[in-house]
Amino acid sequence: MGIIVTTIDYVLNWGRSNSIWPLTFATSCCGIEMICSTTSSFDIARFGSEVFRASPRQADLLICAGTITHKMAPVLLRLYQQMPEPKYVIAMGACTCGGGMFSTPEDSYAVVRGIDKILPVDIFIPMCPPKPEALFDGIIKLQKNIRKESILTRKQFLGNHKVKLKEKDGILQEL
Amino acid sequence: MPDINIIREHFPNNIIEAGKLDASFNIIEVLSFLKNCPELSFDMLLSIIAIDYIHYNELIYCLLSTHLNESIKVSVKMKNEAKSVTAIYKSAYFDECEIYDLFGIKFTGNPNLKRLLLPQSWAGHPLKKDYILNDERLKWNE
Repeated sequence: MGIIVTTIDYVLNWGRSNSIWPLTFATSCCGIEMICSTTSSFDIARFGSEVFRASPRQADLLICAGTITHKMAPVLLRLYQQMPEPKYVIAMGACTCGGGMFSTPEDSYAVVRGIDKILPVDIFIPMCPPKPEALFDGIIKLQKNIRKESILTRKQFLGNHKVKLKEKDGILQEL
Repeated sequence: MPDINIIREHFPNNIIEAGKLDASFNIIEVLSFLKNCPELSFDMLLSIIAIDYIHYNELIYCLLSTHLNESIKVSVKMKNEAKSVTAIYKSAYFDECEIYDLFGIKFTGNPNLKRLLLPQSWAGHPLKKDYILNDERLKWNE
């Protein structure tokens, strides 16, 4: 039995890891780098991720490219919740990793200090903004993670990183 | 600044200093005159600027005359309530909503004054000098 289960895992993970379709979600300058990565000089198609979907229902990967403000945060959470499992999140850029240059309390009232406060994040790509090569490095790391995972480990990961926020009055609040 | 004498004749009590026409007590009359006077015809409102001086607020209306290719600044000093100029310049609506959003200045006469940039339930007006973010609902963000 053990052999069969690992084989199914292997085939599923092989298929998943080589066709990660990202969601078109660019909120600021990191989005430009994300667009650049689809062009022929960088060519994200080498990793099977060239099919940017306009609908969260067809996407496997949320590349959050850009600053997330409190007004945008409910939209991000809703898009994430609309994506079907298995779904993965890449936090691209300093702002999504931890607030970036808006991160001190005196600096900005409107920016979320890292999207890991809202969603479970698989891969963090710092830099401001990351080059397409850095995005590919993140995608390759994500592919390696997917190839290692089993159904149970993913469940465990999602159980440890539950979404604790909810939209109310236009902003995200704790449940 | 264009033909100051026409403005001086019509509004002798208004002070012109530092390139601005002070119209704190008669903003509606001044703006409708500047727009409708055929020699001036300031037909375009470029922007409204708000400044918080702690004890009072100042609004600066930047007008452009597309016929003369001249611009003028009209200033209003007040506490927290200003008169809306949407009846004269329709484009003032969004400027006034943004100023209400960030400075908390209420515009009487605006058809639908609401926050433009921040969520509707936001507490406080962030560009005021005495603003501190202490919203209990956003504790998760620290």
